[in-house]
Amino acid sequence: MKRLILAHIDVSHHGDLEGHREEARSRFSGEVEVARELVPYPL
Amino acid sequence: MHFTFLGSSGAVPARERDTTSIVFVGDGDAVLVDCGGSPMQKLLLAGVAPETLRRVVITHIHADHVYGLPSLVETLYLLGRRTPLRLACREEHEGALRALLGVFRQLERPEIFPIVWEPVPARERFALESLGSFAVSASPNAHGRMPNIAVRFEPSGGPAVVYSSDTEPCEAVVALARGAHTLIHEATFSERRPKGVGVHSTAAEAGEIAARAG
Repeated sequence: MKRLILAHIDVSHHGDLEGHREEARSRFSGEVEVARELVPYPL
Repeated sequence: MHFTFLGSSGAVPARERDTTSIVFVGDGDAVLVDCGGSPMQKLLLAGVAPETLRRVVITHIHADHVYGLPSLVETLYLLGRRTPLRLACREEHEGALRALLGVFRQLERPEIFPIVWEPVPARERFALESLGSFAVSASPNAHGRMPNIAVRFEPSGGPAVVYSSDTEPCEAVVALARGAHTLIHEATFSERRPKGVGVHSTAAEAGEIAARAG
């Protein structure tokens, strides 16, 4: 697994998305990002 | 080929984030996973030609994942679609989705394009019928009493992408994601605060699942 994208994020956390990303990064050493809307992710 | 988030929020949308849905765009075809918001507008904003939509996957029937479906069907019809649209869902949900579309008589009006139902059983790595640019498979996840599926998209010769849909940490999602390049995992909650309503994962748990999927 190279990349984790976080989605379905509760509205109560929208003000601290970097905190969400860091929380996931504490458990996964690959690339972590919060989903960006209407931005194409190439395959 | 690419995928695009049409939304990324939990059940409640916000000014800058709509409820979670994702479109996978191939060579002349597209597959939409879940259907919130104003799906036609979102497809257009994402640069997806509506007529290229071949299949919609409804992972489960909580409102934020399905409420845009009648709007999508109606607007595709109004734009002149005549070709069938495949609709994949848990087999337990076909009746409810038929009822939802039935409110608007979308299954009985002869002028509306046919819906081809694709019931998905609660079986790990169930392969949907092959069509278009992606091999699509599904596994049941763990969303409390709500039947639900995680889905895997595999373009020919390209990197696989897995979407967990709504779930607590789940072995079947780990297995489905094994060997994939990207895991899109729900992170409704955070370990920084008590969990809210529903059976969901934290960002930390999403990270653990990604790590375990290797």
